[in-house]
Amino acid sequence: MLSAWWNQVRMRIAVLLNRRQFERDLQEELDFHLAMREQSQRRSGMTPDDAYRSARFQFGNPEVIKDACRELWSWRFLETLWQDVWFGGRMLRKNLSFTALAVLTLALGIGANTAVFSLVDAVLLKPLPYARADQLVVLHERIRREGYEHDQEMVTPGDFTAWKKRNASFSGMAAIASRSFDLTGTGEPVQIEGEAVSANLFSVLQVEPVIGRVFDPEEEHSGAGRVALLGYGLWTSRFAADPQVVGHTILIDGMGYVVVGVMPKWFSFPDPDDQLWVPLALSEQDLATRAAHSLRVVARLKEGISSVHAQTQMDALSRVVAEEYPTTNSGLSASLISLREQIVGNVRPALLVLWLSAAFVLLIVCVNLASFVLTRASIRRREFAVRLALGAARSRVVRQLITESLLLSLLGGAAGLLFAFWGMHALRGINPPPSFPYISRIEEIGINGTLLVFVLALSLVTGILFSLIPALRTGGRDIQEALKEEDSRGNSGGTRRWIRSTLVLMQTALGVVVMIGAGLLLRSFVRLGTVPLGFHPQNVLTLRVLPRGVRYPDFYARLNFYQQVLAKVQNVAGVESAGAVSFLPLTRSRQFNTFSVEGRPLANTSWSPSADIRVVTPGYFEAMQIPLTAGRKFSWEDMPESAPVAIVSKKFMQNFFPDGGVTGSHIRIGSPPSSSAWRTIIGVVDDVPYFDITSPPQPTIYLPYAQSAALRTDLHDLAVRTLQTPASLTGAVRNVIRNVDGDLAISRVRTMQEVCSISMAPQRFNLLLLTLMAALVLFLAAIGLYGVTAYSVAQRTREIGVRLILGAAPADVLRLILFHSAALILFGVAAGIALSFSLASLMKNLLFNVSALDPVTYGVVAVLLSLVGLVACYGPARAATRIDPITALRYE
Amino acid sequence: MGKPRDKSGDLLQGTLDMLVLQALTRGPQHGYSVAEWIHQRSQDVLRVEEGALYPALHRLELRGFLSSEWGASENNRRAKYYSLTPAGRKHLLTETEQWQRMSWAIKRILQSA
Repeated sequence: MLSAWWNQVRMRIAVLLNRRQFERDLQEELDFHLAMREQSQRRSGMTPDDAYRSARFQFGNPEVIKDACRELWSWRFLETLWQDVWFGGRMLRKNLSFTALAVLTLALGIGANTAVFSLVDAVLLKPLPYARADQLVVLHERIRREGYEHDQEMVTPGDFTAWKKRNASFSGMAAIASRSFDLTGTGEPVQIEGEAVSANLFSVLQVEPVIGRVFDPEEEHSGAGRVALLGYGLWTSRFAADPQVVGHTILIDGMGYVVVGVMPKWFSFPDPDDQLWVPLALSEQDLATRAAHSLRVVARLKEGISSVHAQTQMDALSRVVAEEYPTTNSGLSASLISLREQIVGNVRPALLVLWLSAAFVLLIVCVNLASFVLTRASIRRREFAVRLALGAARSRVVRQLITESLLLSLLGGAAGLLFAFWGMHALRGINPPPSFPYISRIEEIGINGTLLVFVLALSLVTGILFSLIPALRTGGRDIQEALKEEDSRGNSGGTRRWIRSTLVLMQTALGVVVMIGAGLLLRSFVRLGTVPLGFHPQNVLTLRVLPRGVRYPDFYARLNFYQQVLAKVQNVAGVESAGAVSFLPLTRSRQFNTFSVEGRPLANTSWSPSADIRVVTPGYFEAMQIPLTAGRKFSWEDMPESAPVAIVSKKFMQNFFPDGGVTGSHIRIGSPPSSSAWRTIIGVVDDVPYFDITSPPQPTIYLPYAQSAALRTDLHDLAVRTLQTPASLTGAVRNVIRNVDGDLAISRVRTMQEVCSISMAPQRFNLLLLTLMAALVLFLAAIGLYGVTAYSVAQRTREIGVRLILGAAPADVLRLILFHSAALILFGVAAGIALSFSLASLMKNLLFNVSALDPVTYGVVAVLLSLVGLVACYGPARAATRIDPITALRYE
Repeated sequence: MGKPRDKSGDLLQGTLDMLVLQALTRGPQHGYSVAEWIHQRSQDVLRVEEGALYPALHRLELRGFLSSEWGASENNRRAKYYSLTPAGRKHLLTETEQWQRMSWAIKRILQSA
């Protein structure tokens, strides 16, 4: 059945493709028949003349037969369609400026939507690449303590151990500690981001390596042989994708690790830049500690257990653990979040707003096109009326209109795809680097099948949408009326005016909504720029270097390294001061510890207060220019054997020493049973936002590196204040470090201003995209208003002529046209503001220190759009005043 | 000379299709010989008009019951030869069967009257 149908289609296509051949064959077939008939007549005794005539007489009109045959082979529907398309194409070619404007408008709308959709699809819609990804959850500690609240704190090894052993909800639970490694041996030492992970991480995620194996459970115990898994990217870039590397030993931080496997290309867990995994070798003692929140935890829900159920169980378990360890665990509970939410949750609000604006842009495009087509339809009204009068079916005329619109929208879609392609490239470009992931899966965007279907569907829907209004109007009217209308240009009909007003209203309202969104983001971005940083980012060079490997067996070797490097960097010409810090400000790092104050027993609260801990070297405060408000800074006199000291932030002072007397007081890191030394607070410095610019600074304790051996905190970043452009000293500073130790990888060489800029990347990303949408909206709305007004002026030419003859001044005419447009625009602005009010909750999460109902933004947008709208209307209105009354009265 | 045509010569489309298929059971034929064969076999009763014959041939070809090929005719002219396809053969069988049942039934009715 199907094959027969297909056969028919194939035969018809063959005929369609070779029409001429078909005609020739048909002619020849009939000629042959005639010749045979003639011959037989002659044989029966007729004269050749008679035979000729008789044969033809019997045969009848060959054209009728041919027609009947042709009809059989034709594609009736398709051929009329082809006629429509051909005719439509000719109409579009004839009006090139109209076509160009329409295609450009469509391309902008479809392109913007496609680019945004590619982003939404890659980030929000496509499933995560793990088997049964819906079962994967991330566990955090939720902290509710006076002076310190956080929903997604990392997990202490002690809690991880308790959760893992005592939960009833998960089929597997794995811990991850972020690490970075220096890869040495062959070639330039490089720093690789990676993770120390529980051996069962890969079975929890259900991921297989492409070569080799994952970790064995025994490899998790400290003291077992050192093994490593390579990321695909690292394998290809550093090891030339050599499968033989598995089983070989590579040098990581100066120590030999046996490569046991290579992970798939797409795998990078949990951070987008991870390329190396080693077992998380924690001793029994490590596993019991509850002091440092250092682990990330991922788990797989048991079959049939919902995350809500698991959360309830974990709440109960958290309460039990808190009773067992009140000093460390009061106010702490486990909090579950799906892996998907963890990865894309932060960008969802922004993407939804972006998506909505893109949809609005497309609606405006449709409105614009509808008014274009309407204008043209009114110009072509006589053409349609004549066609109807000549007997064309009304459906045929409507179909002609829709065909033309679809042709336009498909052209627009194709051009839009080009825009989208460029847009996607730009999107990837403005996403912050993987070390600061904002949109985690953005690298997955691109042109794919889903996207092409989306563009096609979008083009078709758009085409049908914007052709519907004019088509319905032409189709829904009878011929006489259409012809009559032709004569009555004097006054525009009620329906027409109504449609026109609706178009203007919609355009303005949608434009207002998108522009208010962009305006609010702009306001927040400006506010972000005024957040006090507590340091001066100008002229600071930062880089990351970590002394590790065999040359640094203990803390003293590392201390020595810093002393040497900092002293030498300080001597580089153009360097003012230099220091090191555990993590730079604004790098989304958090190191949170409990502490206690001497002479303050844990009175009414059973738990210790907490603060952010930063380990620094002397020179750090100078390099960052963090002002000291009381006391003194650290110096190289504060050594391991000298009196333990600490510096605290203003916020710390305000929170914990509101009555003064902070300098000279003693604090101790860790909860009461802690054996760490009492430290004297020697100074107070300004608050610095260490996590990110939108999070208020936490109370912070600074410790000198020389006295931080027990904390085992690495100093990751160097900060160098320069007298000239920081980048110009990069080479010199690198050389100094290389002279001290040539085997250490130097990475993340950035100026502090770059670091600040990267930290605002999410806001910049949102702002940039929404501003682009707003600009698009403004442009489209201006074009649209211009078009609609011009249309209306054309419609009212005769009316205006009459007014002019009856003595109206040009200014009156101007006022007449502008007044009407202005009224419509104002209505539109009002509607847009109302709509924005109702959508305000969508924006709330994206804003910083700006209300989603910010009156300034609303006001400025209202004024701006009204002005642009009026300017757009002014041209056509002005043209109306120059109408020559005599010509106008003769007009049609 | 008038067109030799009486009422009984008008053929229903389905019947014509059947006759054309039957004509081609003898092997590949061109349109003219199909018409002649039907004319002769019906002892000059049935006369297939060209205006019906050629559309029928094309229709049957399109439906996959016939295939066509250009070849040399008996007088060495290029002619389009039609031949039955397996599908056409099957179609002819069912059509014939149905026709025979019908004509038997009609005959019974007319005789009984």
